[in-house]
Amino acid sequence: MVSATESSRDPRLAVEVAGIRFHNPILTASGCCGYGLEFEPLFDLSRIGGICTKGLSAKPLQGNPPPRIQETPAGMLNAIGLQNIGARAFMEQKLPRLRDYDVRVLTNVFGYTVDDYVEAIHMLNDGDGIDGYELNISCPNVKEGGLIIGNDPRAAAEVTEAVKRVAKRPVIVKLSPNISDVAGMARALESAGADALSLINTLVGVSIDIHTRRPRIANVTGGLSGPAIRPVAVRMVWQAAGAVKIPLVGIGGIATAEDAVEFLIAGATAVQIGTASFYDPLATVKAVDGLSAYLDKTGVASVSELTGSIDLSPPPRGH
Amino acid sequence: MKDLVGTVEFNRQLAPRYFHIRLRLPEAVGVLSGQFAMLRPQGLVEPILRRALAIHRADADAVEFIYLVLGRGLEALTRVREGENVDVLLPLGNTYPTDAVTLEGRRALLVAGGVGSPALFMLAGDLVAKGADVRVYFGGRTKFDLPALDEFEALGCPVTVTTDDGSAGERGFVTAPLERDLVADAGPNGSVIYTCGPWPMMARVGAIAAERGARCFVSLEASMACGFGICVACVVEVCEGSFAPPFKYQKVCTEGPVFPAEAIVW
Repeated sequence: MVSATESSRDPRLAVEVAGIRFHNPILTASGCCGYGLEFEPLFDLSRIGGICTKGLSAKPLQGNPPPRIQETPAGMLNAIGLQNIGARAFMEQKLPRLRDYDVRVLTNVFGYTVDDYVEAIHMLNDGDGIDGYELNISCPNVKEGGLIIGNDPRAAAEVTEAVKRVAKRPVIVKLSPNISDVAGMARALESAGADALSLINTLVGVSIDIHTRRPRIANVTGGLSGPAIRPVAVRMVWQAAGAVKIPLVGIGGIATAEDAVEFLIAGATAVQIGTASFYDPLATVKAVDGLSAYLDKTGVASVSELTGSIDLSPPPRGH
Repeated sequence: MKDLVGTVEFNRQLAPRYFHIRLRLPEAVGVLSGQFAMLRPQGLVEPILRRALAIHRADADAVEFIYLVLGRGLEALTRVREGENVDVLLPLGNTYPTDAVTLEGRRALLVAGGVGSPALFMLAGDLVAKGADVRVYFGGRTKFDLPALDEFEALGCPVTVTTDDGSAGERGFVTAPLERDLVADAGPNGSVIYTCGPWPMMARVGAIAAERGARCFVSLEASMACGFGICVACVVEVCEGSFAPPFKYQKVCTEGPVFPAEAIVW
């Protein structure tokens, strides 16, 4: 496969997040792209802006027993349980092949304790070809008192500060949507040194089989993703954009270029496509092409002009 | 693996809730027996996910599927008409190991349960074409749960039919004639069993194979969102030692759908 060259790229799509230059704002979302290489038979990985890997932990994780997913209206619940090969195996088995492509690589990092995150980051610091880290802080267990890191600004800030002390690369912190004060959380993370924020992770849900009365997912609760959550995600990006100066990466039900543009207008600098890749494996590359088409059609000079361009003036009469 | 747009040549009902669809593909795709595809009517908004279906037949530029309508995804597929388009990702998954049959001359026993039969049809055709000794055991709840039985019978190999209610063939489970024949034929040459059907049936077939010293391969089904390894939803628990550590859960889509029966935690 011939790799996408600089000349074949649309320079109007280039963006910068946390000091990382992406040749377009379309990234894969963690947990919805494996380690990126799974897409090799389908498209040239250099065509998309970035790959955000499946959550990596210091040690391999087995994940949850099946069933792990349930389709829901315009979306799905999942409780995969972060099954992953571990940071070490990722660097040995996957990263060398990702370096064949001109695509930015973000490793999503997951832990149960502050020490877990630090240990994984220490390992990944040695990885050649990693451009940045995305911290998954939506996990339900921490060392002190069983708090959920992602729901508590102080715990989230503590993890962020600890990671920032050791990380040799920019750190993007991924927000949980299962919080009431988005602005407060975003500010706490910015103060803790986060280079950027990505949002949103999945919304916690439950689906029950009314015949057996059993939960449809073995873990009982699962994370809701897909088009169903898009308006929630756009709202949270917009709220975070009003609260912090660091760049935002929008995530949540994005399936097309038009969806991506909505997040940019709300305040995102880049976006991640997740669940859509399950049912449309070429969704990311289609969105890249669709963004160029959108700029052609609207006459907007570049995607970065869209960021935060929401018009909050009163709507015209008759609407 | 390719993401193609297939055009419907026919999509007809075989029996209550069973349908047979044939898609013309825009390019040739090589398909191995046991492989599957992820399908979704083009332009469908809801439900969002594609559905995994075993490939029942494959020509150079066309594929066929037989499906049982269990939910709203396949319900939507029934409404696609001739000339309309279906997004189809294929071919996916592994294939059946057949060297013991084609090279060593062992007998192949194919045990199908209901809508598990399409996952075995290409295998049956391939083995019969190679001159192998193939026997098919086809069980269903009723005579309406034996999709494409006529296609198996047309292959010319012996087909033993059972139904739970006795409406066709022998009354009872398909494992009964299988076990009977294995006892009668337990010669030094042994047999290789291939099976696809409901989980309890496959578990029983695997247990019978283990008791009789026959090799057994199962084709599994699991809830999956993607079909090519990125969602990590479709896992099955495997026995320690059957796969390289550390994982006790293996993906049905990429490590399967065909597994040695003894590797599965039944």
